[in-house]
Amino acid sequence: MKDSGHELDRLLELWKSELELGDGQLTAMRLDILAAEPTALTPEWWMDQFAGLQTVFQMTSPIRA
Amino acid sequence: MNQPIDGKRGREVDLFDHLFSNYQRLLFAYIFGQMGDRQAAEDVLQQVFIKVWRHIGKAREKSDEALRNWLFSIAKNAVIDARRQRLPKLFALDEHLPDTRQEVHSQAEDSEALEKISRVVQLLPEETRVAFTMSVLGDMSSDEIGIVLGKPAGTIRYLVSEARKRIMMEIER
Repeated sequence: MKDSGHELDRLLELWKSELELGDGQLTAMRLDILAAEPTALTPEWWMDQFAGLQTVFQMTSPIRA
Repeated sequence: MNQPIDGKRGREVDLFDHLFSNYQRLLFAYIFGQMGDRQAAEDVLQQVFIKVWRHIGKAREKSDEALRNWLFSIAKNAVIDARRQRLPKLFALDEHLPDTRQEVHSQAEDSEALEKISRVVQLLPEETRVAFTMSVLGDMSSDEIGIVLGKPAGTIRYLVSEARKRIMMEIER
């Protein structure tokens, strides 16, 4: 029983890491949100953003070139 | 370096990015606590930041405290809207949760323990669940949570402690 508090903390850290949104998810969500007003931003800006998104997914994908 | 957007819009994107990176985790913790469902919480979080982006001009003049109040107030309303649409589904979810008391495990592995945590969290009273998720997922102090939820820090500490006790009991069962 004496270590149950620490064990719970360890499990809650694991639980938290399972629930947290990953970098790829957050990057894609950010672009989805900004696209809610797409006309406010130029095509060049969007091209930069998608290039960045591609990099994030390449870094996090299990399949590497 | 090209200048794809004008100065004003660029500053608004910077402000949005600042809010998104600093508050997404806190708002997700709050929304997850209210909804009790990860996918629903993601959807609501996105709706919240769409509103923020559409009204980003309002954020420019706000102090940090006013910004936080503004963001959590948008989140609160978004949760109310989402729950109105999802209410029957949420009740159905609770009814079909398996009774973990009937499960017999000689050794609780992490994955089983995590499932138990999720189940217990879903079944916590709403007030307790929100305080707990803001504490664990949002890494917020009792004072900070108390400000957002309009409750004394001592009450928040009690609620978080109750949630931990219930989870502990379930894991040790």
